[in-house]
Amino acid sequence: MNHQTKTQFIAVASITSELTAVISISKEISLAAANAKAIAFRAGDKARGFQPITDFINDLAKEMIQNIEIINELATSLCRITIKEYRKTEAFNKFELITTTCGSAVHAHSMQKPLADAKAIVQNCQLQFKRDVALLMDHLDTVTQHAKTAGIIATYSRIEASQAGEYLQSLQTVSKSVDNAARKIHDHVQRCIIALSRFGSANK
Amino acid sequence: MRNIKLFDSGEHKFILLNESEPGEESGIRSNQYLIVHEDSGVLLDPGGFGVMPSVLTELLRYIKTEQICAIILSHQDPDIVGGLSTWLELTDAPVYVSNIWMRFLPHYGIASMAQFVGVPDAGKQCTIAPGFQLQLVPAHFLHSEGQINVYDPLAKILFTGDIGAAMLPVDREYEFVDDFAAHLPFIEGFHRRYMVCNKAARLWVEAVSKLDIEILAPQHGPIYRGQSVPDFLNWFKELKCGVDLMTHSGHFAMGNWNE
Repeated sequence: MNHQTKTQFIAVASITSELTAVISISKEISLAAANAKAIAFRAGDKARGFQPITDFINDLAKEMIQNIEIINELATSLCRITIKEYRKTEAFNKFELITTTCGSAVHAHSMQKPLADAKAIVQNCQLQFKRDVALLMDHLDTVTQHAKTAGIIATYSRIEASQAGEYLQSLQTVSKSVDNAARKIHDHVQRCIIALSRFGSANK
Repeated sequence: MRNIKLFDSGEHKFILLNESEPGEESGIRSNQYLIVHEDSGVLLDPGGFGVMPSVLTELLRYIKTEQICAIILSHQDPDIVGGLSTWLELTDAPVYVSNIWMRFLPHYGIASMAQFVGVPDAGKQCTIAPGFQLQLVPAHFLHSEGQINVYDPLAKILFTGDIGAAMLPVDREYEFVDDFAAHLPFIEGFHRRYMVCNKAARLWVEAVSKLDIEILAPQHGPIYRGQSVPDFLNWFKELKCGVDLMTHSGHFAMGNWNE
């Protein structure tokens, strides 16, 4: 396996690993939103401003999970393309070697078509990889935006929580956990973007 | 050993295409055969990953790549199947393999099983092209549970897979077995250890004895011809091997061969 293929495999595998963590954190956000909603309901008028925020956080977490599922599918597709490219490259290299060693064979010319076909498929795999990386980058950007929004909402919710009287501490804990989760998601997604950036720039 | 025509009638040829060198895959030497009938070629046991280029290079002396009409795998071992994924990049020809090994082959990096044809336990008759038929003969448990032999009635050659296989020392090389007694030391240990039992050996000998065989072509080592054919069959029919020799777990009456 050449250096380029190894790098591709590692990049795709690292995305899958990062995304597993993001899904888990998004679920935590969703849970925190449900928890906050219950507290806000108990707080009644004291946390009236907090209630719509909890719905928004919940929707955001769901949207994030949906996006990550799409990204996961794209990452799986990238993995398949990488394997296909690897196989075709191996075949191409062998065919190329054979065309140089079988010069005296009566039917040496019959290698030309398989050689050309293998080369075309390798090139097609490389193009498709770049296209899918570009698409995946777009989805990663969307998740980054979601994470940023979650961070801003966490700030708003801290302000709303400050008016919640005896529920202040509970709601502030929820706000803090949403803020932490947003930061973690942002970090994970940034690592995905860095891992992929060297492959997708041509089509971006 | 390369390019040995075991049979050549002009329109029909049975060729020992290539015998891989031990160094090619740091393993054992193995034989790859090509049967050609007019414009149709059948490749028997194409070999491991490393030998593919040399096998294909030899094959191009006889047929074009698009004339490969079938690949037949005697069993599932890597020295036979390891290079198959690259062959499948080259040809759309059907690949015949025992039904019981079909589910394991994708693990050799084979992307699709669409080209594979499962061979039933009882074997089957294959019409490759008009006037070109091969008989897939069962050779179960010798040494693979689903081993297949290939009988070519025109050449009167039976490709025997691992049956009859020899492991010659690196400094010994001969193409044909003409003196079975002298050859026996190079096959005895392998057959006692790698074949499952005498019952399987006896039933196989009884079945193939009904065929008109002039040559036995194994997957490893020299080729049996003339008197060495019945000599081998008679010896093999009586051979105690595998579980016949097991005394207790991990121990054989013959001693621990190859240690």
